[in-house]
Amino acid sequence: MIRYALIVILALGAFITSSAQQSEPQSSAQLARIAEQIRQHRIDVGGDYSMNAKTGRFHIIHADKMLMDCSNCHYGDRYQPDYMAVGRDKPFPEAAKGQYVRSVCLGCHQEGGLATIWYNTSTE
Amino acid sequence: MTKLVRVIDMERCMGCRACIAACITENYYTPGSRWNEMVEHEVGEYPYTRTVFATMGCMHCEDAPCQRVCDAIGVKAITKNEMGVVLIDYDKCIGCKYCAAVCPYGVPQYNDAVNSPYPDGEPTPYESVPAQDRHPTHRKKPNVVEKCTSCWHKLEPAVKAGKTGLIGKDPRYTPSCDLVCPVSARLFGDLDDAQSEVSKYIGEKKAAQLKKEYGTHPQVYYVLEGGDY
Repeated sequence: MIRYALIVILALGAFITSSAQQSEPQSSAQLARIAEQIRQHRIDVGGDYSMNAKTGRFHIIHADKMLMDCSNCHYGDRYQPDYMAVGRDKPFPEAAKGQYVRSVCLGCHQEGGLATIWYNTSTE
Repeated sequence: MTKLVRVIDMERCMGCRACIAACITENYYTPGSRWNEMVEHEVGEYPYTRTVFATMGCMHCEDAPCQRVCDAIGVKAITKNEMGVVLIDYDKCIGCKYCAAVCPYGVPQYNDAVNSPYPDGEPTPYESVPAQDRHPTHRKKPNVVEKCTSCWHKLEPAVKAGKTGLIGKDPRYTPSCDLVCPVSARLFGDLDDAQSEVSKYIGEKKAAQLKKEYGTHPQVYYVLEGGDY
């Protein structure tokens, strides 16, 4: 009986610890490690180069592996007032959760960031 | 060297959308994938307000993130040619939309279907032109990404004929959007030629590139209220 109680307590402890770890924001070093492992194909993110939310690498990398919250990029159901590329008379795409904020990309994808570099340093 | 750039004067633009219409007719427009968009926003406070207009096509960045991402995933459908024009090869494009995701200007437009602008009517004359008779940039396909080509089908003949000096001067070798502006708010030409109209205009009006924080070095300049930022 005592042995069973001990097992239950240990299991509960392990569960609480792992839940706490999952909910904690990852450090930059951890994220950089994950990013590098993805680039080296040591973490499987599939072969579907698409924006598909379930099977596409884009969302698997950013949401599943890097644990980015949807609201980090998708901000709502309308264009921002300073949205500068698509006409604001264009209907809002129903398929999207919201137009994403591209400035978020700069955090990791600029020179010196932990992700693959798409952007140079600012020329301002 | 020739570095083709465009300058758009937002102090002059009155939002007539002639450049949009020119692009639509010149580039075999299909609904849902405009290559040139007009955006507008209001400044001031009621009742003292006015509207500022800007047309947005491809910026043909010197360090184009769309090309970087396309190369990185091995598709290599996006290239920047000798004149600095960024082009998409529809035959190579896999429609992943990564280029649309990384472009800070929201330029690449995914075309999920090649629809007629007038679905209930007869095909327009330009729709009736067979694909093989069109320039490769006009051979529209579904499920690929499209964008402004700076009317490469008009610039290419000038390059082949060794007449690059006429680009931006001769209407045959100038993008259509830049030809039709009734208030001369658009100029196109060679920035490396210090005597070109476009070079002088950028210098005199202190035209600026947009979203410089991305470090993409766009080749389209805007005359903004208050000058460069």
